[in-house]
Amino acid sequence: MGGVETETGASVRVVPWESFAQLFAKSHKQGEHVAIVGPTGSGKSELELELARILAARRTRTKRPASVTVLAVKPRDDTVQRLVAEGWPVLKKWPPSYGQEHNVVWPKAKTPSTAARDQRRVLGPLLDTIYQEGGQTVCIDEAAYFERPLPRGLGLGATMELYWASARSLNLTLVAATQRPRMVSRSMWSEPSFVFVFRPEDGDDLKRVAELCGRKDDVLELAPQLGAFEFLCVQRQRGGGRGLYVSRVERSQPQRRRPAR
Amino acid sequence: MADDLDLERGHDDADERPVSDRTKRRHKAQARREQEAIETRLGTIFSRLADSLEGRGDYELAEMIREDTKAMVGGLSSMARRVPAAAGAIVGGLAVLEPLIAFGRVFRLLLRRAGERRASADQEVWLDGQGGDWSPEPEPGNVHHPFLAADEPEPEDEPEDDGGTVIDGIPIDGPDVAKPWEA
Repeated sequence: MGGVETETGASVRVVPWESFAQLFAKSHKQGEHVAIVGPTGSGKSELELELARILAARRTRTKRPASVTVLAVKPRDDTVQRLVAEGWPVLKKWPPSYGQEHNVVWPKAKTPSTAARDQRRVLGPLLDTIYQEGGQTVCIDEAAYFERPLPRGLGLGATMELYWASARSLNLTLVAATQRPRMVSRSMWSEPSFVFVFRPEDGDDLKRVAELCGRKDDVLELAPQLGAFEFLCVQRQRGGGRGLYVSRVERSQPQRRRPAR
Repeated sequence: MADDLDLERGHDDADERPVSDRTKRRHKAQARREQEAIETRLGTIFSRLADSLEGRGDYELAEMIREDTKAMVGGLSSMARRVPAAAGAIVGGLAVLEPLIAFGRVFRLLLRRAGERRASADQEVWLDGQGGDWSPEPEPGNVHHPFLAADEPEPEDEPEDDGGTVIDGIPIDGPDVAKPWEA
């Protein structure tokens, strides 16, 4: 574990992935949101699913496994497919069976022209239901697609805004990633307790995230220096202040889970 | 608990439906609500009417209205649904009848009490004109007759009879009867 100092004098901890994963598991509390930004192929989906695994390995206060649901929208998604191969079932109805805490919801589109509409018919009511139930973790791979209006997106901007702004009080954690930070609500960058930034390709995108996550100068200085699969994590600490970490996401060994009966 | 969510087919979204469809649905629901409101109001009116008739002793008509209420309400409601002008007339009629029936009994009671109060006041005025107070328990020797006409003479006392006793035209007692045994 090492450390560097930015021009503003802030200290940044550079940690290997295992250490960071432990640190995240220890410091993240249920109800705290996570936002990830990065261009295509930067590793944001990989990071998101690794975080989902970390959160899924935790236990609730009642000693039951934490409930984590991954919402997938792409026609094919190898990262999500790996989760399914590990034993995360693709649900056909909600609520899931008793004991089935780690799930994938993957509404398949019949045709491209009706894809958004069909997926909205599934994911809109599901997000409403999960919001009412509370106490879970929801992972969304492309937040901008959820927020953009029909037919380019699912038109669930109001629901997403509600999740960012008030789901914390319901112990509802939202883990969302996007490659278009200017197409999502400001709350996605101002509300989360953890903001992960991969090396950006667009200066304006980086500026928006940097301005809203609370460490503008440090993010603007560090993010362009990141390498492949490396990320900068800005952690909002309880009692004020923000911690800065740099790490590199690595794929964990798949753990075959016995499917729930 | 709410129904299960179908994650394969999804659920209808209100925002997706065409506007005309939504408007039609809303109009239909509104018409149904209005129809139900008219039926309820008519049922109440007939029930109150039957109660009122029973109170006046017309049990036959009251019973008949009670038995036929459902049919009458159904008929009027059906007519209101099919003929818009009839619906207007029925609603207008209800608007007049309802307050009348609602306040009818109260008004009747108030009117009766007002009449009684007026009669009582007239009587007191008459007594004042007679110059005496009303005495509910007249004392002997002080009897008066408040309801007799003022110009009617008071009944006179019987004159004292000093002519003796007469039976079948024969005086048997009195100053003119000889009483040899007293001599």
